Amino acid sequence: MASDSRRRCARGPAGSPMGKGCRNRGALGTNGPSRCVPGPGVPSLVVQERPPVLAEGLLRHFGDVRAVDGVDLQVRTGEIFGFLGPNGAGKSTTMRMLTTLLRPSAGRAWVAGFDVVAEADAVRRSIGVALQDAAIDPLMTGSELLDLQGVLYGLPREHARRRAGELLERVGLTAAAGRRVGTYSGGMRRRLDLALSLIHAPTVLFLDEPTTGLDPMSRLSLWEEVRRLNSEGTTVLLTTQYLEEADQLAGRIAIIDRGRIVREGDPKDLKAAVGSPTLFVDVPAGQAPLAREVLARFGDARPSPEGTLGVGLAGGAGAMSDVVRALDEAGVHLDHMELKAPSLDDVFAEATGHRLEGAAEAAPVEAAVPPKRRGRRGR
Amino acid sequence: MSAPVRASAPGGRTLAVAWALVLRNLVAIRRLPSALVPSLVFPVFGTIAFASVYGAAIRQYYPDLPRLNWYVPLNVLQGAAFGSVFLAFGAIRDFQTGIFDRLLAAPTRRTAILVGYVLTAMVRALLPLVLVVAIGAVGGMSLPGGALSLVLLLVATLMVAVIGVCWGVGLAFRFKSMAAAPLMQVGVFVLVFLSESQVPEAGLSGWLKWVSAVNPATQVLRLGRQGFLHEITWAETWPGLVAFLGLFALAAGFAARGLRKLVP
Amino acid sequence: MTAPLSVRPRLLAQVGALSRRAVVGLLREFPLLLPGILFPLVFVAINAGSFTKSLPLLQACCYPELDSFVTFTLASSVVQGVLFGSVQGATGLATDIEQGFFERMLASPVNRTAILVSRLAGAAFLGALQALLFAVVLTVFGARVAAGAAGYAVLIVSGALIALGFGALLAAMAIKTGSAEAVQSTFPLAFVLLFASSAFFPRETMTGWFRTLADWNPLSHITEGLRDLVIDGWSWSAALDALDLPLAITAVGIVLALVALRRRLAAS
Repeated sequence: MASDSRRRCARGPAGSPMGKGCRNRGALGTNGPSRCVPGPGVPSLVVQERPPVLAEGLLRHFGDVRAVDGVDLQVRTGEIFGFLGPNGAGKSTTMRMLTTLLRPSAGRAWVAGFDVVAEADAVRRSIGVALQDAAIDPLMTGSELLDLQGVLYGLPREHARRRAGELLERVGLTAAAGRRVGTYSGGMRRRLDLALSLIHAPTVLFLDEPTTGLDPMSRLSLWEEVRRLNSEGTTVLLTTQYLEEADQLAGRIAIIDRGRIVREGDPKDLKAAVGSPTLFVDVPAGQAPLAREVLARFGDARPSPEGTLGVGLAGGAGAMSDVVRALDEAGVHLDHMELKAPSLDDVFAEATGHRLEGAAEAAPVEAAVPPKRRGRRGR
Repeated sequence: MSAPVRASAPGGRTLAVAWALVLRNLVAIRRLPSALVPSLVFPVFGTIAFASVYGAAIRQYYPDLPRLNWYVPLNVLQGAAFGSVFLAFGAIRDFQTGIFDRLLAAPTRRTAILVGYVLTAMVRALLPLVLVVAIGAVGGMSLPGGALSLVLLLVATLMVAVIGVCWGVGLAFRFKSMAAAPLMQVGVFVLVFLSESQVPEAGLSGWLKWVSAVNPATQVLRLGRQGFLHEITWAETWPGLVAFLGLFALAAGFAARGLRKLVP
Repeated sequence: MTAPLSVRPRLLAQVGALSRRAVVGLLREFPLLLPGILFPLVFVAINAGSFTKSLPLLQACCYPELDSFVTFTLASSVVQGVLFGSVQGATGLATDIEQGFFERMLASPVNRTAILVSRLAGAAFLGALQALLFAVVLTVFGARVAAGAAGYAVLIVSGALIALGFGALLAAMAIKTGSAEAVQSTFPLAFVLLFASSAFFPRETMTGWFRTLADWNPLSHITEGLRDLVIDGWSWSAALDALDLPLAITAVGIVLALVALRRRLAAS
């Protein structure tokens, strides 16, 4: 039965009625607040020690191939955590292990406080999953799929119906609910997929490349929805190969390559750690040597396209006005000027030696930040 | 938004989930005629064709019976068997669309998924039964064993449907692609045809006589067919029941093991 | 400016190269061809086990000299196997259209008719190969061809022509629809056509409307021609039956396929 470290309680997410005998530690405690998964007539256990997602040495091999090669991961309560990497890096395999769809070859993981292998059923009750391919049946209607999902999760019929209606309205599919899913657009399928993963109000939501293949408007709409869910208390772990998505949504990211996490942290900090931004300057050909001399005072020269000069701006964006003044004082005429901040692609390149595939903002190789240079952070 | 109600443990009663899956599978069948029509057309065609082509051979053994009496039960069972295989194709489609992952990620007992397929196969098998028997009745088929003949044929049909679907989904769980399709069909074909499918035991010769004698499907076929040939006897009934139990144990075990291997 | 490297290609060279591609492609998809080879053989085995004791029936109605059911079934297994194989060949053409290789050929200086002819050449080669295979395998299992070497030759040529004829009909469909799935879906029709004939049992044992159906089915006459050569020995009329109908079907099929091709080219 319950150990000393556990209490019985019945609790829902933030804003819902609290049961007896349970204290809420708050949504963003580093050690994770109490989490309960009550069921009708089944006592719930509060596991205080673990965060919503915790993985230790997670490993998965397929024959000789190590798709996931020792991943340690911790997702804090209430955050959006991004898992960024190219195709074949191991993102989806890690996701599938965490969502109990694949057994790890080694290592352990806990989701919502439950062991993904030993307590798989409890994990499934606590999580929502929207996988890489929108898992929908094209022959069924949106309503039918939501009804089925309600039955699969054992929700009372009336409640499931009500919840389905709310979710359809929330994702903007009420009008299309009676239509077969095979007639839906890609964006509509994704939204339905999201609705299906939310029918039982999970505490942790797993999204595997949720906007792959979507047009920009649908992508923005889905981001908005993810932010809204997170603001309501849902912890989100999402995988993506889009830099902008990771940048826009995630409070923290882990970059994975060839089955291993190579960088982890706040996107801003990671980018800042790579080095200073690059300033590209176009000047008349005859004035290039003079311009080069001036620019050398502000940082190291960097590779740049033909006809352009590049410099790593040690003082950050704030030093741009100094550069302009210095060039002007030297009599150099400025044709064009552009500042490129370090991107997550640069972070990835610095960590792995190659660029991220399908990067939304692939910087030209010549203008990449210099290797392993931890310059002063710009103000 | 309404206050959320958590997923119940262990998540949806098994039968409720299984029945929801049956309804879903039946809806899918109805909405994809290309998956349904062949498994109905073939038994009907087979009944007519086999009776017309091979009828003279059967006449040697049952000169006083309409030829359809021999072929109607065979084609009903064949329809049930191949219908189950087509259902297993649907399981493969579910893997490919990702719906199966959704079933596996839900807190439902794995048994419910398998029971859902089995129940669907049983319901689906009623279609060729009704259709072929109707064709037979129109074509002049008789029932020496009385109304009980149809009951036994129904029992045999459900047996074959259950075995066929367990075999099919067992392969689907392992292959997860249409590469399994030929194996599914071959397995069912072998079971049904390496038996007294074309002629009774007295007409068989060589290797087929021996294989038919040891093929448990022969007993199931006899159970379902006896009422169309003569009076119903317990001696021709109980071996079919035993054979079904043995085949079911094997096929269901095969399917269950395949399902267990999919996830923890 | 340098002259382009391409010169006007010769028709025979084109047909040869594309035919080679068709044949190699079919052979590399050997697993897909296996059903067309194994299924008829399995059917022979099952029917032999089921109907050997019905030999007196066959002897009484039609073939007094018949002494083996395997001999009886040799002709139908050739026809069955070749028929199923011709579906596969036409599927290859539809796949070319679906995957864009057909367009690539159209964009090159390939003779349009050569595209069709080479596909059919591949099908005919496969048909001949299948016929030879069945003849050899069933001879090992006890079949005897009374017409001797000439009988075997007619079996192989007839197999090639059946593949050519039905292949052309299906090619017309492939060109018209551009869908491999549509071509594949004709497989059950081939099955129905085969059963509604005297391929598996003599017409003389059938009655009623089914007998009429079998009487009009060209497969009945082709199979009976081959069967007569196998069981009764050489006769020009039997050889003609086995060859003229496949030739006629080939002519019709090629005309339809060319019309479909012309229409497709005009539309693109």
